[in-house]
Amino acid sequence: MNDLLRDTLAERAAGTEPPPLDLDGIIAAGNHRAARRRTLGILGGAVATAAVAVSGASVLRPRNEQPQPAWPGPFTQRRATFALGNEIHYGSEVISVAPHTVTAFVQTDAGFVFLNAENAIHVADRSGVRSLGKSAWRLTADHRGDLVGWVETHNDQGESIVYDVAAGRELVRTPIGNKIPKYASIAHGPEIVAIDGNTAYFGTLDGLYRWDIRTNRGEFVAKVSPVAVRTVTAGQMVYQQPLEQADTGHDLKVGPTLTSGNPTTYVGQQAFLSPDARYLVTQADDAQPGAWPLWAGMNLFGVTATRDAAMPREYSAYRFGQWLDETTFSAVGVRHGSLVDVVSLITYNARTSALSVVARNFSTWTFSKTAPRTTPFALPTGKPIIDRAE
Amino acid sequence: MAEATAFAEFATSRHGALFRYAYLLTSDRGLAEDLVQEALVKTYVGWHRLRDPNNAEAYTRRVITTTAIGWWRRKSWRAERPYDDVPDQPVSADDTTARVWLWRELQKLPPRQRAALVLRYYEDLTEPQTAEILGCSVGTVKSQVSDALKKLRARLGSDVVLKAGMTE
Repeated sequence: MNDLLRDTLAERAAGTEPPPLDLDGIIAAGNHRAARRRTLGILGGAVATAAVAVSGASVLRPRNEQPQPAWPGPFTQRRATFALGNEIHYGSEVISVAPHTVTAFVQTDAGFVFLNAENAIHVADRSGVRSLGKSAWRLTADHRGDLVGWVETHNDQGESIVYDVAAGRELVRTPIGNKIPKYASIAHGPEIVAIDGNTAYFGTLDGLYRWDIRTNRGEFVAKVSPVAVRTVTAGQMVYQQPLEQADTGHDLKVGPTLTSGNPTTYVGQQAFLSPDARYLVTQADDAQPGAWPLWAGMNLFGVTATRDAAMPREYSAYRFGQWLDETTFSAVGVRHGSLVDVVSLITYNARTSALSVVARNFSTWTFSKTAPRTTPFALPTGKPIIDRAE
Repeated sequence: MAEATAFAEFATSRHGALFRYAYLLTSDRGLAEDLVQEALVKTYVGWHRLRDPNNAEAYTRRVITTTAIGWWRRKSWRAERPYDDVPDQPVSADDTTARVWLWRELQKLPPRQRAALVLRYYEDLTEPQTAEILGCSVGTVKSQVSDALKKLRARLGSDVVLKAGMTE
């Protein structure tokens, strides 16, 4: 036996306090590594077969299955989240994206995708920030999953893109429906209306397309404005009334198709369906409409659930953030301050009407002096909060 | 999901022990932390290949050991560092000074020999278990341990060795 050696090792080990375990960081790094291996494997196979498929106007990148991470993504949980300056506040966790400033962002299971002041697209997670080398005006993501969508605009056409953040690759890139006519004045540019599971909805200049992400093929749905359909969740579309109006109306309907569904109309312009489409939150495009008509505030409706009560009057105005689960969403509440209006991050339960303050007075309800007039903070809706008033 | 939960339970429960093992290998908190982090990431990625989760700890220790040896070869943590707590000579085998001195001498050993000693005398593993983690034969483990002890005995001097009962 060697007691001195044992004692020495035991003494040193006992005198060493282990650091805290960074389990989230380990899982994030592991997912990133696993995704990279899958991508390299797929690329290797592609090189071996040297098969490239091109079809019509659409550049096809077929895939047999949507890549799934080996483990739940590091950001699967939806927490009350906001971005302020160069930090994303994910619940109590702060993710720095310095030196970038976040102007708009969305959450995916694999990380946050954000636009900086130059509208360049970046991905942020616990391992750092990486640029995708692309730019867009807004981002679209599902309630869950790793996918994010955006439109890239070129001189003569736009391209609809769906990108897998976990795998680090594009799944769809198509210019379909987005050829820009010469000398045309376009009221609304193309948008990715929604990603709903394995289906993406493209609001193109020609009309609405429904796109199967797994097969990378789509179908034309209706000749409507790119923004006529506001969102699609759990197969339920939220679309404007009248449907054919070129500008954005402020009456909305919900249904599985554009000609069927619930006869009830809802006031509002922007729309956010809960993950199971039981509740609908609406608000105006303009964050500061002058007269504050009824449809301008943030409204909560029950689509299939009973919902009668208005939002509590604790705050003078609200702005939607994100659905956290089937009944609870995050938002900011605006309250008049002595010098300037301030905002607090809240969560609100649509079923119980319980309101909780998550971050009190974390920023101000002010807008930059130059266009686009945006707030100092951003919420995970994929677009900035803009005051359109001149 | 069940696998992810199992990994989280494993990492949470064994992190402290794995960190102490890594620290004994490297004698550097920062390096030990990096080693454990890297090893747990590899274990996480390969978790589904571990047929029996009970093998996870042995697998992780093996990753720590081989990674440490790889870093040792490529990097410079063997560079000379000051040891403020070490006297010029070991005073007494009964004194903590002897352990301080031995700790310093352990760090001068080649990484495989040090790993073999830590596994045998701290982790109390058998020679076959040590061989599995080091990825070598039992005979190699025997020779690594023997060579390491021989060096320590030579460096520490017969007085300390005899008083401490540090003989094979």
